[in-house]
Amino acid sequence: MNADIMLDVEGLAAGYGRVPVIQDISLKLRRGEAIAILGANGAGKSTMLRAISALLSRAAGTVRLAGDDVTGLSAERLVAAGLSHVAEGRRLFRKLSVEQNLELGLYALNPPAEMIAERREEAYELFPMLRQKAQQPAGSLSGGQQQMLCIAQALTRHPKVIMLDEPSLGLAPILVEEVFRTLEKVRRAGQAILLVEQVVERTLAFVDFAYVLQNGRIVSKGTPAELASADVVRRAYLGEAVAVVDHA
Amino acid sequence: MVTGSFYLFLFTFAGVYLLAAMGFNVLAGYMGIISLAHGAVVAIGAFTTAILTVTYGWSFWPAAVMSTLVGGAVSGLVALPALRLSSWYFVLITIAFTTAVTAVITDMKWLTGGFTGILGVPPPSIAGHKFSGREMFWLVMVINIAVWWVISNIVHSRIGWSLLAIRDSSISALSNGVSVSHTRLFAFVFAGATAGLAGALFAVLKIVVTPEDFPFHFSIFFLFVVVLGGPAYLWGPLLGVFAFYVLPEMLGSLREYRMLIYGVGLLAFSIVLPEGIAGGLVALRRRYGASSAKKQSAQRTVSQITHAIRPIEGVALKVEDVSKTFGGVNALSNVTISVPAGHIHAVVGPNGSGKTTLLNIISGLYEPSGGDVRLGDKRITGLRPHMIARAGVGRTFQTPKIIGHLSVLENIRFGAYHREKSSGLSIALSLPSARREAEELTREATELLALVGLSDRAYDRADELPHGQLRLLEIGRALVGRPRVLLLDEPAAGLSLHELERLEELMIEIRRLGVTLIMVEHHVELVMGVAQSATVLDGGKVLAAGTPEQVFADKAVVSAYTGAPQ
Amino acid sequence: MSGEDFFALLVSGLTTGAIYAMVGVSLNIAYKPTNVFNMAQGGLIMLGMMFTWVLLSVLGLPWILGVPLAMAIVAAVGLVEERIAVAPLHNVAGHSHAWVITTLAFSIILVNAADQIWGADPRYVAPMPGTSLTHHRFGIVGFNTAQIAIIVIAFASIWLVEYFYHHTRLGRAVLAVSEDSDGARLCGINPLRLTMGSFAAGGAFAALTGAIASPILFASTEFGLDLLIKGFIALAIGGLGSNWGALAGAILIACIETLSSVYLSPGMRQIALLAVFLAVLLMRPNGMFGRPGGREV
Repeated sequence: MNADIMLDVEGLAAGYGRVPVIQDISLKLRRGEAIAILGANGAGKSTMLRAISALLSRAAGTVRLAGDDVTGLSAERLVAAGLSHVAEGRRLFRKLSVEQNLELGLYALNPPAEMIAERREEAYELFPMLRQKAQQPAGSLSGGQQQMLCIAQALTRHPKVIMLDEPSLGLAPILVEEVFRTLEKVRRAGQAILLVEQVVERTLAFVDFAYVLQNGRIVSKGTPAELASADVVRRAYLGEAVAVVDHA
Repeated sequence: MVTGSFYLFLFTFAGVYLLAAMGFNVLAGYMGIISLAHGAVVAIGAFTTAILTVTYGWSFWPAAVMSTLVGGAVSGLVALPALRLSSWYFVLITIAFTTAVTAVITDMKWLTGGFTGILGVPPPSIAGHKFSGREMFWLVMVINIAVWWVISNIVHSRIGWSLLAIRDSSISALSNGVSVSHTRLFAFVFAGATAGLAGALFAVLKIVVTPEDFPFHFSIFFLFVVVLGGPAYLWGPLLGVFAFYVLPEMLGSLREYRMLIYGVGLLAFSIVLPEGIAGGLVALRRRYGASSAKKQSAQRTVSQITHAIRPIEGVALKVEDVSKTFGGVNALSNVTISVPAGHIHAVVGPNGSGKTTLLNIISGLYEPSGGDVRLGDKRITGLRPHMIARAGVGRTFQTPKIIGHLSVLENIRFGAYHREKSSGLSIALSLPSARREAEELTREATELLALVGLSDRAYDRADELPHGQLRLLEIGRALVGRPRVLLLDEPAAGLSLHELERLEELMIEIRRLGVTLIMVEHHVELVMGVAQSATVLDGGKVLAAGTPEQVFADKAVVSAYTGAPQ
Repeated sequence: MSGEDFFALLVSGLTTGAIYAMVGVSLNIAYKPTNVFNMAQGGLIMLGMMFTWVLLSVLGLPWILGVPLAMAIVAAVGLVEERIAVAPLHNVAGHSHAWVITTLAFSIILVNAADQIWGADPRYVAPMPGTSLTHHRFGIVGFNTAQIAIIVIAFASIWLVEYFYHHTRLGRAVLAVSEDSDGARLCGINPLRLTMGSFAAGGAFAALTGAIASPILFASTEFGLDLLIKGFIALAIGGLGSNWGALAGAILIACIETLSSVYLSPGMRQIALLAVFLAVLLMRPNGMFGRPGGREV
């Protein structure tokens, strides 16, 4: 077992009620690496993240975080263990202030006051505009600012792995660029990143490796160069009879 | 059995409680309304009969009819807030109502006698002969049997199914053409009428009625009996009354602790045995009689199609310049789609592009902020959802909304709700005309069951089906309504490859019947395989329209899907 | 009605309103992390009354010892309720109205167990130390110090609850859960544990409510249901989840209730209250002061 593998998912399956959504998902994420999960909407990308972070109970599969088996941990324990999941749709506590949101982001660490102040400074250095808005309710921020706050909330926990679900959704192109610049900084700091995105070309330009999800299964994987040449991504989004082996 | 006067009295009272509980089962069991006003309605029925017979000298029979009517009317009034408010509010309102009724009865001394109540309610009589205790017992039994029979007719008909549909999902009830408010009102009035009648009998048996006969836990008793006996099971109230009234009365020492036992039982049952004693027995029978049941179901497997299903005349659907805003956000802006009769039309687009909003507007669940929807020449914009269903628009849902409590066949049969012309009364009395129509529709349902390929599961409970079959079941249910336009919301979601193929075939068969189909779907291959035309939505606007080949080759579409620059 | 009578009724309305407001707040405490109402809250208040009576009047403990002890006992009962009537249903998806029945069942158990132990007779509990039921007058305004104490404690305790939610880490975590339970979990907050804590805290607050109400209402096993309804009406008027709204709603209904007692019989008063309640609910489903959103209870 490679000690550098920060996230190791094996044979993951999950769904809602009796509706199976994802099946037989296996992936690896190394230190300082960024990987992407691509796929059309409805392919099961968000479900996969929710299953990895234990928000959704899993039907099968194991999850290892930096070598430790964390399969049995609850979502809130997983956060403390070092897995941060930035859910889709910019989920903030909209009635609470930016500062309070940042503080709640650290809840899992049960931090002393000086640590809260220190981590808050980190967030403000990464996103200076958050400092100006510190006392405003999070709901009053613009979409881009909310996304920054979500990312800051996750990063200040110093997680081993950060998973982001469509951080660029609904943002103007210039803000999408800013999100990716931030993620680049984060990766350079040695952070392992798992990114779910719709913006395929920009995502492939950023990540080291990508998995393509279709109908809840991984149908292909490879480096961005491999995927681009095989045109699998386009097919995953737009069909044209991609061969999928039915295990059922 | 009916020997000693104690037992005679006990069983007569049990019969009165059973009568009220059976009515309450229609409301609380079948339709899932938690009300604590039922005991108060019994009290009103009892005082109505007491006042009319003692103060005004009426005979029992017209007084009992009056009690029944008053009970139904009062319960209908209580129903009005229930049509708009959530269950928490409603429970609290019924608690407040019940305490207010007792207080008002105590208040109105001039009418009700206040604390002392009304004395000397006379027994019923026929031609001068006054009923003895034994004759009262038989009177109560005869009424119970008659009401049981009526309820049995109702719950095995479209009325009972619509009650269950409302309990499970009022949206699916609406889209099958059920008027939710009328059906709710019916259940309240029916339950209230039985409570009123039970009250009349109660007054006669007690001879003296006082407000203290109807303490608050009298209302809890009915909730308890129905929840524990088995909600939505015909036998539930009988089992409930026997286990929790007759038994404790016979074991006299338990009486003192009855309310405490009720509380513990209610808590334990609603967690461990949510379907009550009756549901538990059914589950036991299913588990231990599984092999024989299977054999039986194999024998009873419905026959394959014997004659072709009558073609349906599909109709064109036009969405003209439709917009929808939610709190200032444009979910749809100026969307125009035209689907020729008999086409399969696909609506595709990324998440949040407004596809499901569009379906909800067509089926009337949302009212558009602007624009029109036309079914053929008829403008259906702004019609209530059940009226749109009756006009010929059927639909399925992203997550199948079926009635888990019913069999597969009954679920499909429920789809014919708005086609069934028999009146509620003829169904309740099981008149030959109603029976004939029901049989005819059931035959049609079995044919469609075969069409969607679920014949071998006809008599299984619907909630035992795997997800893929539930989708087929929902499509079958929509087809029994003979829709001229069928809306499918992500029919391929969660299906295996094999099931997908089956779905594709089925859609082509449905089109061959003549139905116009509109589907919201991500699954590009399915769209390419079956659709004649497609519309791509993005951010609530039409991005492209044309044949599936055309739209998926469109640069803007590729960009919307993959984020590639155009 | 003379001016004196009017002010006497007003003071008594304010006092009753303060108690109703505390009932509403105690409902809010359990509502915050779960979005469900605890139908047994009335039963918990009743228990608070009875334990206050037992500890103060029977065992003779001083107020400052007896009331916290009663609060601790009822908090434990609240916790037991969460464990046996709420927690088992967490995994039953979409059946939040199952909680109506289980918490109602728990309430039936509480009330009838208390009835078996203590009977239904009202019991006298002395006013808190330093206050009395002796009538004082300033001009045309008449009151007693026990009434003042109730109003002061109600305001102070509601202020304390609000302070907890907005100025402590744990309080904000509860607000976070009530806004977005999954989002809170992704911050490492355990909603189930906060639910347990909130049921215990709701029990303690209910006991305090019972303790300060018992000198003027008398302690009785029959009070729970009535207080539950009044607290709920106060919330419905003031907006669910809002504590200051509960206070405003409670004072409003208590004043309607006391002032109308001059003209209406008890039964008619209940009908009038029910009518006000229904009118508010149907016209302003989010309460008089509430904003849209978060209506689905």
